[in-house]
Amino acid sequence: MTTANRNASGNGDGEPILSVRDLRVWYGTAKGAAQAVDRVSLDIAPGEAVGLVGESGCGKSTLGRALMGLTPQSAAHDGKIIYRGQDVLAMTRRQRHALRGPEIGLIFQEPMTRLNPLMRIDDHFDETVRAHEPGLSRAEIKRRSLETLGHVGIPPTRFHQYPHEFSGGMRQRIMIALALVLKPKLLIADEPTTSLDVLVEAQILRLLKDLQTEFGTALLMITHNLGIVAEACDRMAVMYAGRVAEDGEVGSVFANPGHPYTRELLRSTISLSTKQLSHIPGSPPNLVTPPDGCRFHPRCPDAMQVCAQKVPVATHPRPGQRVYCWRHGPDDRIPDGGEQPLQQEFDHVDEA
Amino acid sequence: MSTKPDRSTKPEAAPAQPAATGRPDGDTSTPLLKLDELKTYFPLRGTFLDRLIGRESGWIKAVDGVSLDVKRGEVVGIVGESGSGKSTLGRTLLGLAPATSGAVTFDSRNVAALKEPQLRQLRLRMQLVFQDPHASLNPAMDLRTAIADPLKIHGITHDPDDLDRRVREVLEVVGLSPPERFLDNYPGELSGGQKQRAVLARALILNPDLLVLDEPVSMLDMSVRAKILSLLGRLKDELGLTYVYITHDLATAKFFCDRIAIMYLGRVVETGPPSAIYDDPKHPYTKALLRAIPDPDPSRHVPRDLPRGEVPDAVNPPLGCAFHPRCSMAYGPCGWEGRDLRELLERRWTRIPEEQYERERAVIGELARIDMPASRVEVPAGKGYQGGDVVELLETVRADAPNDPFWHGVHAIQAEDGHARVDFNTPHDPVLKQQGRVQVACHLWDPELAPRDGPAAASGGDGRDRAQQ
Repeated sequence: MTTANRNASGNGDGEPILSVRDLRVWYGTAKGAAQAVDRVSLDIAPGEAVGLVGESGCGKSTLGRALMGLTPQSAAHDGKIIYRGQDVLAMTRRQRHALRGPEIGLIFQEPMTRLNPLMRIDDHFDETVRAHEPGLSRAEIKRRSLETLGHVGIPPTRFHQYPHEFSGGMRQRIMIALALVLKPKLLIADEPTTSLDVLVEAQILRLLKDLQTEFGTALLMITHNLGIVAEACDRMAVMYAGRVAEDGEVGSVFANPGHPYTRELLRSTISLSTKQLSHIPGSPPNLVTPPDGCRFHPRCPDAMQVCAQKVPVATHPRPGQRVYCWRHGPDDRIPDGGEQPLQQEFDHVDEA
Repeated sequence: MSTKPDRSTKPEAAPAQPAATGRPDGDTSTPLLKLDELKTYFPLRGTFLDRLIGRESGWIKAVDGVSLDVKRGEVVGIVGESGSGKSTLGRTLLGLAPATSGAVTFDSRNVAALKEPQLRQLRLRMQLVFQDPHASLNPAMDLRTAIADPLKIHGITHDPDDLDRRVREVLEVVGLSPPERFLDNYPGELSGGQKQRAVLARALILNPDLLVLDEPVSMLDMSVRAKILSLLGRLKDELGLTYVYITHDLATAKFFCDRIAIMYLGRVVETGPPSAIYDDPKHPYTKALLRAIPDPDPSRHVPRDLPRGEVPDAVNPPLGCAFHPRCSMAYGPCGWEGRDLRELLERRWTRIPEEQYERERAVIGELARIDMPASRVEVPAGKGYQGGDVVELLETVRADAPNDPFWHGVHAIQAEDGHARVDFNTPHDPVLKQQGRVQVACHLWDPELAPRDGPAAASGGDGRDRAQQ
């Protein structure tokens, strides 16, 4: 079963707003080329919230940047990113610039450093709206800005204040409002709550959820926190060492994780219902010389001979769930004896 | 746990330091660490002129009257959001931040009163592990040097062979083995989890009794957190350590701690064993925190009843209970004041059309005049408006959301010349009171202040006043 041309999510209804096909992104490092993103295919439907999870260094942020055409000059890429029928990677700089903001909005991780400390909040909005819709009157810009700020709970009395006069949570709300004021169809949120406290995090998550329902904005939530995905997303993709290990409906992935990595990640997450600590042995590979075959095989408790030799292909153990793991076959692609358990030479030194 | 368990797995204890021998071994009744009404205030630096004329510019009340016992072998969790004072508390109990008043008794010596040379001796026995392992290791020191450093600083040994032996031993203890693979590594060559192990090794090489762990796993990936927490648990048992675990993460605290104190704005609002706190939280703040944790179970819904806003400024904390502005259960005595009125108005103004906002805004003069911690404020009328107009607006606001807890706190609104006078109910400071297996500082649980239909009335009065601190 190959899925290169198939709807990657297995979720067939409606044209996706964004389709990623076989995307690869390399960075040059002192030790060689690091494959931060390796043959990733992913779909996002209009109005859908997709969670992209993985540990630090798995390539999730690079993927998020690449979707907006924001990879650094030194990075090379390959594959396709189709946004509403157009290939983002084939666009000119000017076209990409027009895309960012009104079409795809981005919310960064660090709200403290993303606002210009010398500009008042109204100037931030003025600049943002003017850059994309130069024809608008001042009054119209103000009306729209206040409306959006109202949605995120920032009172109009504070419209003329400077960023330092706001708390961390309020700054993140302002960042969200700045992205929303252009009414993007897709919002990419890169760890939007990581530097915030639990209560504020919960407020922001709820806000994003409400905005998604209200405006029909699609959301790609990049996070390392499975709890956030469970709470705020409809579908999820799990990344490991630059590749998608598994994706599908949040409910079905949590209930029936198809990839051993997903399963172990869920088990090692500490929540209020945790009774026993569990962890994944070893640590993620470096991306310059990643392991052959399935990149998780050196840490995988279920690894078979084939896992060390061949890159797994997509399988669909359940409708709407895509898993890259030889445990799910296809059997005719596994060489003879490939199902024998792999002798793990687990090196204690690699313990994180 | 009266005596320390077998120490054979541990690097040999530091050679007898006079300060370290006064340990009353076998004494189970006195806690290893005792905080008594501890306060740590930091002076606010005013303007140059303020300092020149010696004008007081205020204090940040980072820790504001915390009492807590830590028994030998116990893990006590200090849980709170940023700005709750939990890290300052950790630093104060090690003598790293000077206590303003109150006492920190470590093994019957008051840390807060000790001078630096004596503190140094005591610090052999109390060590701190910081949150960010990337920042707490010197990038230019290999592990051999970094981990041996405390031994040199405290003058325990300078003998290269002895240092080498001890460093190897402690590396094994924290799971960085074989040690020779790590001795010459620089922090940049280690993963996050390995760095945190190295930080632990550096703290353990002095053979301490108490470790203050300040968010030891927050910066680590999920799959590594469990590993480091298991290691900490194992080390505690093997080396007979006592932990103060400072965290914002209620999930790891539940798993890891024997006792928990929830802090809010410098004070403990609820404390008790995790089983009691998590199964039946009493303080509205604890309840809110527990509801807010993103649960890795998609069948749970996004919580609807979240406290609004964020942790307020510790320079001018809210009157009465510091949590009242965010509390959905707040009522009359919780400390309503002028700043709450401003917030109420601003909240309303985010929800109404721009024109209506402009109209209402014009009725009220300068908002800064009500933005103060006072139980009586005069709401100035805008240009061309009278006190009566302000009262009328406030009544409209009330009629639109009569159930907002704020209105429980309003005693009277009166039109006066050029302004409306708003009188709030008298604020009361909540104190920790025993309630079942926990202590909670909330008026809802105070029989003298609680509303008749509140939880205190419902649960009966047994033991409520017994342990008032």
